[in-house]
Amino acid sequence: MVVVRPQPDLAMSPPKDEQATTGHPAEPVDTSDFAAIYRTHVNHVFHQLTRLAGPIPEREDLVQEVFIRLHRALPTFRGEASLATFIRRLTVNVAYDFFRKRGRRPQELPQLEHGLPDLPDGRPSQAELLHDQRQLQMLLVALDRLSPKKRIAFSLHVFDGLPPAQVAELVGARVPAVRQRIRHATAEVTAHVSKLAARLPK
Amino acid sequence: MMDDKLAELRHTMETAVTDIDDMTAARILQRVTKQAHTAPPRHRSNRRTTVLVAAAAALAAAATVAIVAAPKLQAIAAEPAPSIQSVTKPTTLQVVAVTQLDSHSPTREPVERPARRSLRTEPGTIVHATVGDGLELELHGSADIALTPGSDGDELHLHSGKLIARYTAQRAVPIVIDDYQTRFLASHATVTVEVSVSRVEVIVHRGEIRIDDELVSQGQRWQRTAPTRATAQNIEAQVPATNAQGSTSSSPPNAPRTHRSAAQLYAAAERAARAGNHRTGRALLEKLLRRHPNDKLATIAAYELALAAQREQDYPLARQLAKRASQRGPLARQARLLACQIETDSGDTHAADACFQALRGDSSR
Repeated sequence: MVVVRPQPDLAMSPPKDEQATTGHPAEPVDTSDFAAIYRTHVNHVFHQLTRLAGPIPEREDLVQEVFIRLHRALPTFRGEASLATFIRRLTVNVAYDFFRKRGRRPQELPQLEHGLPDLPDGRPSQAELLHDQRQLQMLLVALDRLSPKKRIAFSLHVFDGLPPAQVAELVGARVPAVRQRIRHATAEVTAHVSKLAARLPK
Repeated sequence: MMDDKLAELRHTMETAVTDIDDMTAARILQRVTKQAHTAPPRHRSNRRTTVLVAAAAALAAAATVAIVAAPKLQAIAAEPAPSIQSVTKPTTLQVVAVTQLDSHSPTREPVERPARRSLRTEPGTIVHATVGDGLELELHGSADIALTPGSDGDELHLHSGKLIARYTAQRAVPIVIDDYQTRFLASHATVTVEVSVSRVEVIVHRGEIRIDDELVSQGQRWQRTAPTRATAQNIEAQVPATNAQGSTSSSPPNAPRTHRSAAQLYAAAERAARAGNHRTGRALLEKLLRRHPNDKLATIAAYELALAAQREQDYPLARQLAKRASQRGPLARQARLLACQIETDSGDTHAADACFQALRGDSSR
């Protein structure tokens, strides 16, 4: 079992890589150097897409799509929001389009690989790695059952640590609607993960 | 209790979050740049029209619906409207014959060379080439020409040398002389154009041509002398202003040109590219390569030109430039990757496989 310290308020602790990009006022950005913008933000976009869609092979294409949209939109970027917020909005839009196109996947627990090599001291053991991998697979299966809107609201709130008001601003919805999506998604995901865990051999 | 569960889920997801590796990031950047340059530019006027039409339609339909939908559209509005990809085939340049002038009895020998986007000819030759369907060229001696995409299709840039152009169609590619900020259009005309260090001269043998805003008819001669050093620098510094106002019309005073350093040329190329004048930027990078082949900026210039050539599907040139950039310099590794991608794009799968394999082999060492 993974030992996790309880966190009093998830919304108060966005992930490390996002802390620098949230809540700051818009700063003037040199939009002419696209390569520099890309280098600055590509990792954030990659992390964000991982939290939204999971470590799927399509992530590379999604990152590409985010930056193509950014490249096209930069001439019209007026700096009203920070560039990081603007990119995050594009990322959410790209993920939403992806979920809508893909539809909901059939819910089945993928087979796990066995026979991982022993790791040196101080690194997670084989059993721990397998446990983490299994937990992740169950979580992804549960997330895949959600509708795109619920999934995005849930991921932004729970994994990215954004408060519902900020999620609402990003997805262009009202705060009560977002709260409801998060509540429903939380109930569905936790229930499904528990159900899948109960089916696993002890 | 629920917070514990969510924290556990969050921890689980964090185990999947890893950094993107450099090779993947570089590959994506390259694909983004390529796609962004192949898509046609969006014009502000079109966007404004779209917005106006959308607003009118929304008002006519239901104002309340528009108000409710507005926040949802906020994020999407920043994205471009889907645009129709250009399907026009790029114009190509094809050498059809070469005349060697140093032999006792010069004769025109037919040759068939693959279609390309740029050409440099050697002294002592006359190279006969065609550009698209409506332009025949005779390049005399050492000349340097290249096709680059312009606002209304491809343009032929004459960087140096002498050519005779025979326009046989109503609509053919215009000729641009970057160093003199000159551009001319012709149809059913024959002209001689000569670019030297000190001046550019155009003689119209048949028909009439429009040079910038002037009309030059059969039998007439048009000249422009080289800008002074100060004027040349001003022109480069004012690239955005020149673009906005159109071509320059006044002839600068006659004075000898002095060569600029590699850093100056590169800075000028960067300024031009940022101002959206990619033709000038590219011409300046080519000049950097010619004049300062051993400078460290030359390899960077070669890499950028290779990317441009790849975009224009001039694979032989792109291959050559990528090879040059991969030999040394800060972008050597990226240039090797680019060289492999050029092989892929050109359809040579064997060469691409071998290239990627060699690259992987070197990376694992």
